[in-house]
Amino acid sequence: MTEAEKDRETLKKRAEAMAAPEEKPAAGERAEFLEFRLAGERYAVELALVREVCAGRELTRIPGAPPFIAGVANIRGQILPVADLALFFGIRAEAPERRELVILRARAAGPAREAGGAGELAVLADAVLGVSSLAPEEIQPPPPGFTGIYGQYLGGIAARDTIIFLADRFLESTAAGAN
Amino acid sequence: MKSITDISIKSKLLLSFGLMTVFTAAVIATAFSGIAALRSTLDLRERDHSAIVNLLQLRSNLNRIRGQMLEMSLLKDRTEQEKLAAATGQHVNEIKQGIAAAAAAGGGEKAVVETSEMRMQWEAYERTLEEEIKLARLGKTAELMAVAQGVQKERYERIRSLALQMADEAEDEMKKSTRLSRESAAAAVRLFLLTGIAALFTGLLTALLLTGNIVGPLAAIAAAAEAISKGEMAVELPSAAREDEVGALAKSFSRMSAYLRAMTEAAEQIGGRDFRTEIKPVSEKDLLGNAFSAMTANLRGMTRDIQNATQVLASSTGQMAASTTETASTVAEIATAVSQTTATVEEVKQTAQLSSQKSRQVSDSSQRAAQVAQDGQKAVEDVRTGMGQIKEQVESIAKNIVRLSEQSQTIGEITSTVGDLAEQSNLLAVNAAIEAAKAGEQGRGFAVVAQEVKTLADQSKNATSQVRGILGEVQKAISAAVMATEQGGRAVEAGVNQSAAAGAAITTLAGSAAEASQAAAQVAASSQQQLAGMDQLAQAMENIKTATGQNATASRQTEASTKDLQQLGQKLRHLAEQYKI
Repeated sequence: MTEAEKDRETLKKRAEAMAAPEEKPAAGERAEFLEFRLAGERYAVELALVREVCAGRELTRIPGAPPFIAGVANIRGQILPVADLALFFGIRAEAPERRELVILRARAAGPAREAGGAGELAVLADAVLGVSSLAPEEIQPPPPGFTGIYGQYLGGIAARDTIIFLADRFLESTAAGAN
Repeated sequence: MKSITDISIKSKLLLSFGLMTVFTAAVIATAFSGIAALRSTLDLRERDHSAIVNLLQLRSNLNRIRGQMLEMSLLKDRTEQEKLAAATGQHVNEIKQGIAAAAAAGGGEKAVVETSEMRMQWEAYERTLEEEIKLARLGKTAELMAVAQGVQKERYERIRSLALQMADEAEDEMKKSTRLSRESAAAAVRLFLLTGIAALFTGLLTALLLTGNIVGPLAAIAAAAEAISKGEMAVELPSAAREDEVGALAKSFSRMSAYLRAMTEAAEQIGGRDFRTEIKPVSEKDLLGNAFSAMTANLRGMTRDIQNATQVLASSTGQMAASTTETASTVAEIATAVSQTTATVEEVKQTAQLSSQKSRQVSDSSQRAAQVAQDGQKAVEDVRTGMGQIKEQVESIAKNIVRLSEQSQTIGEITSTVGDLAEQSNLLAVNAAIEAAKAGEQGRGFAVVAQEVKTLADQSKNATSQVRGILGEVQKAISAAVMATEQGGRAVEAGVNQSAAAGAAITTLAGSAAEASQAAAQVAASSQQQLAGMDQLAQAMENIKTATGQNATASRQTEASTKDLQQLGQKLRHLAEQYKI
């Protein structure tokens, strides 16, 4: 199959998908997730917790900060702390030269805000993969033994071995840590 | 006393000519003195003649004055009288001059006395004449006449008689001098005649004496010389006891005659086969004596040699006779050898023909080789030119590849930029999806668009990664190409060098081939000549064969001749022994 044919096939599929009537989730509300890659694994974070993504940049290391805080970054004039989840989860692996930032924002009325944190934090991602929508039944709970110190941040496993990262808990804990 | 024949001819000639000169001088002196005497008498005559004329004129003047006085007494006109007085004054002056001339002429004692008297008379006359003129002016004619007829007449007569007397005396003098000159002329002629005759006689005498004394003996010597020139050797000259040049000549002549006689005798002796005569040269310049001496010596030496030679000849001819017999047999042997050689030469000739053909073939093929070598040279030249062009092209390719490498790097940079852009587009699409989700139901359409943008960004990323992969391969290929062109350049360089070396080798080869061709041509020519030579040799051998046959005949004849020669040698020895040395 040639490249052109492949492209045409893709376009055709896309057109069919767009032409098809919107499916309603069979059971429960479908939720949007942002998927990103970190240390060779796919992670997904609820889109409602994501303010924006932006390209990686020079980080300024802050003395006395927790070890998983890689430093601070200047995002259009706003100084945000940047966390390295690989360090946090202890899954250090070879990181690419250029990394991207996923800026998380706590829900407007959530425990993180209540905790008095700024509610915004950037995490380093090896690559931002895209947005996908998942129904709750597509998400399987984490295996039973998955209850370690960090198990509380994992919301389950979705299709294609995507690990659901519970960003609001992370924001909460960091805000608590900050306090 | 010395005889006349003992005086040398030079002295004789000087004496004779001296005498003649003396006589001639005497004749000239005589003539000169006679002429001088004549001239002096002529001078005397001329003086006397002029005195006579002077006196005559004096008289005439006196007469005229007297006449004029008478005329004046008759004339009454005053002017006429004055004219006459002036004329009278002129005549008076002339008379004064005449008297002075007479006094100057001198003459004898008597003449001097007469002249002084005449002067006195004239002075008196002149004084009275002045008175007469005064009277005439006053017109006293009677008184004037008285004076003129009285005192003046006496004076006039006296002067006139004196003048006449003096003229007569002068004439006498003249006659006397004329006679004197005539006498002296006659004397001079006589003396001249006498001297002339004496000179003539002396000349004749001298001539006769000289002729007799010199010419006679010289004629005798000349006759003797004539006789010698005709080969007559027994000439005798009268022995002259003279001491002059003729005597010396006669003596020398006698000696020469004796010398010639001696030589003649010697020659006669030599003619009679007797070479023992010994001739001593008279002097170092005696060419004939020296020549005779050398000749007799040479003849003696030569005769001795001839006698020795004839002895040698006699023995040699004996040996020769033996040798010729041997030669005759040898010549027969040679004849057989020559016929064998002739056959061999014929074989060699055939071989030479073959060799000539081969050498011609070699020459042709070597010429072809030379041609091929020249073609090769040309081809190598073409290769060199081609290699040069290839080199230029390879260099051009290398440049292009370097440029290509630079451009591929540029493409890599652009691709990475595109990758960045795709990355940013991806993030933007994700942000757009986030915003769409925030918008809720209203943002659903926007979410689709964001998804599409994301898909495009993903595809761009994929495409750029593919391009990067391809570009990496391209760059690898370019590096390989750069290396290949470098190697190609080196190969071309090596090729150029090798083609140059090949060119040099082929040039050398062409030179060698040309030399070989020339050498082969020379060999062909030489072998052609050799063939011709072999032909000539065969012909020559044929000739030799014939000649050898003739030689055999000739050697037999020689044998006979040698025997004759032996006899001849004996005879020659007898003859040579007859010469006395």
